Parts: sequence; C-alpha cells; structure tokens
Amino acid sequence: MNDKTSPASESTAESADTIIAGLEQIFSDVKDDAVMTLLLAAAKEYHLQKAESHGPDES
Amino acid sequence: MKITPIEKDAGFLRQTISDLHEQIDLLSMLQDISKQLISRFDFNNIISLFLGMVKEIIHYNAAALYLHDEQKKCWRLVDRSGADDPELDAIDIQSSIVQWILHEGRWSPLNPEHRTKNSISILPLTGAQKTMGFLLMSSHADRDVFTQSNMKLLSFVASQASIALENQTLYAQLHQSREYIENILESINNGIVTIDMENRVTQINKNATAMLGLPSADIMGTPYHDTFDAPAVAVIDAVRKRTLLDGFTPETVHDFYPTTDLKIPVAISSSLLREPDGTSIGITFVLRDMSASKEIERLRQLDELKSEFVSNVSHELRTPMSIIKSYVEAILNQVSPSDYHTQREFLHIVNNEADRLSNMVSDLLDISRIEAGKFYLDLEEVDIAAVIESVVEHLQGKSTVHTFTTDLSGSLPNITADRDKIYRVFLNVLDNAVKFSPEGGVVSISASTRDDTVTCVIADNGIGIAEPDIEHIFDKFYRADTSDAGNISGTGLGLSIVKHILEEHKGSIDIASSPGSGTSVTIILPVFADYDSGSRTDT
Amino acid sequence: MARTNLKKQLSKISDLATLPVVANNVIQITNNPKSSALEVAKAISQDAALTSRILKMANSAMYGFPQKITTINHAIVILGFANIRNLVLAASIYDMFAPNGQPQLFDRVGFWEHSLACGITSKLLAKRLGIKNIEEAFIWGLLHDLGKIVLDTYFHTDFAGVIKLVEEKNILIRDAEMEVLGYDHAEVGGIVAGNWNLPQTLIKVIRFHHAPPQANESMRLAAIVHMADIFCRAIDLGNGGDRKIPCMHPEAWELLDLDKESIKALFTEMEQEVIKSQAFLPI
Repeated sequence: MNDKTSPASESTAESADTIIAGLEQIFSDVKDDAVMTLLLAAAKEYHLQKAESHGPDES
Repeated sequence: MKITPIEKDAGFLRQTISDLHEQIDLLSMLQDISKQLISRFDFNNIISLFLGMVKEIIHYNAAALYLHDEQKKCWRLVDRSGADDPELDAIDIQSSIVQWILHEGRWSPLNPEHRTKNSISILPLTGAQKTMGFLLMSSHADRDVFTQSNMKLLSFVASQASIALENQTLYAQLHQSREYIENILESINNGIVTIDMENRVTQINKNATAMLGLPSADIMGTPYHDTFDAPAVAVIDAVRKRTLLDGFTPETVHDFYPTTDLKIPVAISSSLLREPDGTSIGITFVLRDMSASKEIERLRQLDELKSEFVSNVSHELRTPMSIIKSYVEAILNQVSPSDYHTQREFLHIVNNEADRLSNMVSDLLDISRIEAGKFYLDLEEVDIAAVIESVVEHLQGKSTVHTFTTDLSGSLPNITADRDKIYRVFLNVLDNAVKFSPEGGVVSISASTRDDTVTCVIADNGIGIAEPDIEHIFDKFYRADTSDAGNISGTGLGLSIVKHILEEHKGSIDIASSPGSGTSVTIILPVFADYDSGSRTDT
Repeated sequence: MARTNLKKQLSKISDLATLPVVANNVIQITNNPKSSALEVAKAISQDAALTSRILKMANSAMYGFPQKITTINHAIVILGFANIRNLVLAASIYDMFAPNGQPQLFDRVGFWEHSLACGITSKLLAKRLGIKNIEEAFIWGLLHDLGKIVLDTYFHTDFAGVIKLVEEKNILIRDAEMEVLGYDHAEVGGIVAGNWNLPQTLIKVIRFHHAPPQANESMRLAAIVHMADIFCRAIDLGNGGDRKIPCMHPEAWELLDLDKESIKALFTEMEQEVIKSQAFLPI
C-alpha cells in the first residue's frame, strides 16, 4: 500500500484523476449500497473541487 | 523513583467507595435541580435560582451574570451577586481567553497562575446551538474548587439553566404572539368566531360577542351549543355542516338577536382550518353586521325621534294657532261689538296663546342654534330679582288657581348674563311648575346669594316627576309620562334648552321630585363668570 | 489460529502489555468524581517525560488555547478532566506502539494518522449529534483500531499473513483477519481494553465499531466511530490497513442522514482539523 503522508501533499502530488480512480477502486465492493454511492459521489466531487482550488496544474 | 499503583492503596479505595455513595445522592439532587429550573418561566426567577444553586456548589464571593443581547449583539450584564469585586469588573470579556472558554463551553478558571486573593472563573451557559451567556465568578483562591464533581455539577446546572432560559424566551415570544393575534382580531370590524372539532369555542372577538349578545366570560372552551342562543345555534350548526362538506361557505345572511328587542341581519361566511398535513382542526366564522354596524341603528332611532318631533311640533303649533283663530273669529263674527267684557276675555286668551306660540318658536330656534353651534350669549348686567319678579307677574296673570310666593332674601347682586335667556329659563321652569300642578297650588321661588353664586329654588306641590323620568328630563324631546294627569302640552324641548342656557352661563340646574309630592328645581348661577368663546357683546 | 486459543493468547498479552502505572493511576483518580485537579496533577507529575508530553499536547493547535499552558494543573483546569485523561491515555498508548522508524509491512505511521483523523472526526460527529462530552468521542476514535496495533506487536507473524492476504486479494483487513486468524481486530481491541480497565463505553466502541447495532445501549457511540472510520477512508486520511471501504450500517447513517453538500462540508472540516492536530502526536 502506498505510504501516505499528510492529505495536503496528496492533492498536489497526485492528479485528481488518479484520486478518483483510486476512489472507484476503494468503493468497488459497495457500489450497490445507496448510502455508499452517495458517499462516493460526495468524495469524488470533494476531491475535484479541491484540485480545482489548488490551481489548474493537474491534468 | 518507584511509582505506586494507586489501586493497591486501601485508603484510596475506601475513599473512592465513599465518594461513589455521595454520587448517588448527587444524582437525585441533580434531578431536583433540573425540575426546579425547567419549570420556571419567569426570567428573574430562573436567574436567581441559577445563581443560588451555583453559590451553593462553589460558594463564590461575587458573581456577575452576562447574557447575549440578540439585538445589540453584545454581552449584557444582567445580574450581580455577592460583594463588589473590582477584579471581577476588571475582566476583559472580549479577551481571547474568554472567547476560547465560551467556545469550549466548560467551566474554566481565568487566572490559575496568578494566585491573587481570589480566583476568577467563567461558567458558560450554552443553549441548543449557541452560547447564550456566562457567569463570571470570584471565589477564595485557597479553596480548590476545581474538582471533577464540581465541574460536572456546574456543567449540569448551567445546561439546565440554559434550557430554562431558552424556554422562557420561547414562552415570552409565544405570549407576545398570542397577544398580537388577539389585538388583530379585536381590531377587525367583523366578528370572528373559531371552534374546534368538538364544537368548542376557541377564539371569539368582541364584535362577535356583541352580535351574538353573549357575555364575554366563560364562552371559551365551551361548546357553542351551551352558550349561544337558539337561533344563533341553528345558524352556526347549518353553516358548520356545510363547511365540513365543502371546506368553506360563501356569505349567507341570517337574523341574529343580540337582545330580545333587537334584530340585526348578519352575513356569515366560514372556512375550515387545517393542519399542513390536511387534518381538520376547526372552523372559523366571520360575522358581518349587515346593518352597517350600529350607526344605522342609531340613525334610525334618531330619524324616528325627528319624525316624532316634527309631528309633535306641528301639533303643538297648530293648537294655539287654532285657538287664536277661533277666538279672533268669534270676536269678529259672534261677539257683539258692545260686549266689551267678553271681547277682553277672548283677547286675553288670544294673547296667551300667542305667547305660547312665540315661546315654542323661540324654543325651536334655540334648539336649532344650539345644534348648529351658533348659540350665543348676549351679556350684560342683569338684575335677577327683577327678572324673577317679571316672570312671576307674567304667569300670575295667566293663572287663577296658582299662587306665587317669592323670597328674594335681601339684596341679590346683579349677575353677568344674557337677560332674555335668563328670563326664558325662569319662565320655562315656573311654567313647568304651573303645568305640573294643574289643580293649582303654591309655587314658591326663593333666591339667595353665597360666595360668588346665586341660588334659586323653585318649588311646587304638584304631581311630581317619577324617578326614571328625572334621569331623562333634560334630554331633547323628552316628555315625561303624564298620562294620569291628562295631556300636558309641550315640545319636550324646554328643559334641554334651559339646561344648555345655564351651562353656557357656567351655572347648573338640579331637580328633585317624587310622584305626588311636588317638585323642587334648584338653579345656580355665578355672579361673575369667565365667558370665553360662545359669548359676544354685540347683538 | 483457532478461536479457542485467542483468549489464551491474549492472556499472554496482558502480562506483556500493561498500561504504564501513571496512566493507570490517572484513570483511577479521574474515575472518582470527587477527585480534584491537584490530585490528578500530582499523579501525572510523577512521570517527568509524560508531564512534558502532556503539556506539549495541551499547547498544540488542536486545543487552540490562546495562552501558553505551563503547568499540569493549569492544563487540567483549562482542558478539563476528560481531556487530560484522554491525553494521558493517548500519550501512553502511543508510546507503547510507536512507529519504530524502519520500513514495516504494517504501516504504523499511516495507522496513527488514521487513528488521529478518526478521533477528530468522531469528535466532529459527536458535536453534530448534540452529544455533550465530545472529548470522549475523540479517544474512542483514536483507539478504535487498537486491536490492529496489538496484533502487529504481539502476533507479528500471524498478522503479517493477514497483511499479505489483504494485498493479494485486495479485501478488507477485517475479512483477511477472519480468514487467517478466525477473529478480527475489533474483538482483540475489546479484550485488551477490558484488561486495561478502560471505561466501559470505550471498550464497547472498540469492540463494535464495525457492527454498531451489536453495542446495544452504546450503539450511538459505536455508530459515531463507525461512521468516522468510513469518512476518513473516503478522503484517504491515514491508512486503515487496506484499500477497501466497509459498508455503512443503515442504523448508523440514520443518526446523521446527511446530504451531499453536508458530507462535503464535513470533509472540509475534517481536513482542517487534522491539519490543526499535526503536532499532537509525534507521528
């Protein structure tokens, strides 16, 4: 498993796409659950918005 | 250094057990505190109870309670307790430490490191969402008040007090809202009645109680079948049934009987009251007085009075006119030119009737002037004794069965008055005395002076006036029921004009009487009076 | 390893792993409601290293006190008994299971980051639910995965097998534990917490943070940690030991019932608070 440090460095180190893909993987077993789907959507949006506010340097 | 595990210490264990027992007692005390605080709705009560409880727990020397002022957005000092403490006053409540403590919501000291005489602490009062206030306290520094149990207790008391204060605000708001709604209902010109699904009256305004002829008390909360009269119940029943079916009714007109002799047409409309989820909770009725409120009623009555008056006056005027006519015709056509005696007799009668006519016309003119606000006094120095004697002379000449006695004691001063009108006053009153002792009798007039007034009493021993009539005797058009004494003529205007004249002179008139024992009229006139508007010295 | 051996194995742990005496003393003293700040201060002061650790934690951005706290007594009266007890517990347990600087199969740094984030999130959730003692929620979140670090320390070989399986099959660590060991870290954590005489609610929360309804009267509290764990995984705060997310129990979700915007707001708050707590543990 990746050795993560603080969340702040995460968003600049990885592109938003990578994070989203990672999330999809993490949530892959629970996709049928309504609550988890909501959570996944929220998490995706959250990371996207964060990436946007950090500057358009992510691909 | 060997650190001993404390649970092996017997002394510690014993202490713990004993302390735990105390905790159990504490729980019941907490329950009491809660009950006491939450049941209060009076702001000052809550505050003083809260301060008292805190004092009992940590025995502060001085305390200051601040509450958040919603409008001014600042902390307001609401109450103090204990001695004045300058240290307490010196605390800067805007400081970052205070802010932090309030944010954390825990009872915390303000100056734990600086051991002065007193230790200062803050107990935040946190409501459901926000900090609503705090208690600043100072207690003796040598006492260690910061025990866990004190912290728990104070935290509990503070939370209960916060809830109580929040409730109190809601309660006060609710009370205000209720009053506001009631004010609105009362100011509406229509009658509003609301019933619940059990037909109990839940809301009723004054217009409605007037229209329904109900006493205002004891209607609320009772089914309308128990308090409304039968016709009203029938109407409300019918409207209610339709409302339950259709959800509302358009205006329909029905007769209501607020009193047994008063019938008013009332337009009723209604609508069903519903909860947001659709359940019916009651019905509101709007009652509209179709007689365009009581104004028309009053106007109607006044109109009737006026018609009565006009026909009355016509009759009254016609009578002396026809008498004059007949006697003059008689003189011209029937009495022999040489029958000097009969001629003189008839001419006397004509003269009297002419006087009567003239008085009546004067009365009418006066009344119309009074009504139009154009009644003026023509002031001069009047010898009141002379006026009275003049009236007596005039009336004596007209009656054979009456005797007039005058007692004008000593010297009566001259008064400032309108001579003609004062003459009319006495003429009217003395005339009434004569009229109301048709059998004849003595009419006495006495006058005296005291201080700055002249008092005259005119008394007769005639048929008297009944109590209910005395009340209304000065009313315009009022004529006492004198059916037992035969028809006594008059327009009913005289005394009201008399009263008005006397009042314009800043005087007064009073009548005492009882049936069968005569009447006594007391007239008081000031010698000098300040006449402002309403008087002029030119004709 | 069969279930029957679990108790035996764990009794071995209770000999090996005890809470430091000072931590124990502090727990005992704070259990007595009549205890005063001075008594607690005295107990802590017996361990100089702990004392300075506590002061450091008290002065951290996590509490945000606007003045420097210089004595334990001050820390106790300012932060309150519950906070101080939690600080002592956190410091002591961290010391027992600190990352040892060498690359490990089980990522201890990530573990503590995740635990800290969980503690902070639990506190936030407790606040939203109107629970008064939110400081307690912090310690529940911080110690909920105690079992994992105990397993890694005292059953290192067996636990290594678990980790390998997680990587191979990409499953939840819990599922791997059940397959390899026959029990999971929640059970282990619960037993150890019991041995250490930690508060009953804490024991329950650790034991049932993956299955809150089973916690009975402590369901709400266990649910808070359950949700905190899932939220932290959703935004990758720390390392839970696997790359999967457990499914949220519906009874737990009912307590909060958030919409998407509220969830995002919560995420933002979580990250902000985590940044503030960076100096809290010497991770």
